Amino acid sequence: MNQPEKFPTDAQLAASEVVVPAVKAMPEDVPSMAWRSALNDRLREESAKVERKRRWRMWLPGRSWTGNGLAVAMAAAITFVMLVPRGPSGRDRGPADFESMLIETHRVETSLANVTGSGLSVAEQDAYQLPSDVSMDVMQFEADAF
Amino acid sequence: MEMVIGSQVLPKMRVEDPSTEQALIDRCRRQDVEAFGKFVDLYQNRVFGFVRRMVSNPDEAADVTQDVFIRAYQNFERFDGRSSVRTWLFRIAHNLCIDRARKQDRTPQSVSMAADHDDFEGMDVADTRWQADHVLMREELVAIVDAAIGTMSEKLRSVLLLHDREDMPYEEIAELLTIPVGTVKSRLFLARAHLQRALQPYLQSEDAV
Repeated sequence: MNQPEKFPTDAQLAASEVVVPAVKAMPEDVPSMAWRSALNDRLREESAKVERKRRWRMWLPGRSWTGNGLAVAMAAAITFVMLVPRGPSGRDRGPADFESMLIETHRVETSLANVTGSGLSVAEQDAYQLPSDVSMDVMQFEADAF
Repeated sequence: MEMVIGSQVLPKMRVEDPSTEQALIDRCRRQDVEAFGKFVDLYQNRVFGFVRRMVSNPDEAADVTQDVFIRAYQNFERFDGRSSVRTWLFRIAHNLCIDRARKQDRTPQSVSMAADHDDFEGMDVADTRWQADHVLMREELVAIVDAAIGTMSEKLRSVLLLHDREDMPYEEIAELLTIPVGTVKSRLFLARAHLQRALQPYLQSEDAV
């Protein structure tokens, strides 16, 4: 168990003061000029940092209402930019995907036009199961024979 | 009262004009470098003296003292004046000394803090040669005192230096070290007892002469 701390009385402390003059009379310590010069250099660096911080503080929100308002507006703008979607919703297709889709559509349209000419739908073409390179004339002949 | 070391007479500690010091502190709060230079002029010897005895290596002591003033400059804006600027500055110095000692894990040969409380009763202090008015210090004695302080634990040493060297009242030391006033008194008493014991051989040799 810890013993309660026993403090010296003021009289005991006063009596022990006999060594105080020995402590007081120790010579004063004086740092060198080089030490002071080095400290001055460091202080100049620190001062430059402080100055830079002050300049920032002029632009960053401070303790004023205007500053707080500016901070809220900046936060709202950042949130808006981050949350609002940039393009149409759904699957985001790349440009290459879109290009190949266009080419494919064009190819189908062209071959359909070549095969069927006007008046025959895709369903009708499928029903006859014609090769895509059959000309209009052949198709007409077979239709008549049938 | 003046102290004599050999032929050297030491002046009394400087006492600054409070209004001038307050104006200086106000400028330092605004991180005015020129004002802070004057502040360093006022305190550099005292802080260096304290740090040199807390950190035994003189080069390290010089580095730590610089760090104390840099830290003070950086934080002066936040100095609220609740304690005196001296307390605040020495608190920074004390903390940095402790940090340095912890980093290097270099605990000095220490006087036990558990030194018997019987010391309070058993100490012989009635030696009139140590009356302040009659003190004649020699360089040898200064060396003995310095060495004795160096062998104390950091806890005793800081209290002894702050009270007997810097003339800080118990309450101010208690606030600085965040310990009760009673503990300050105990540590001071033990530190002085240790110092007196270290000086005993010197006194005996003086008797022999």
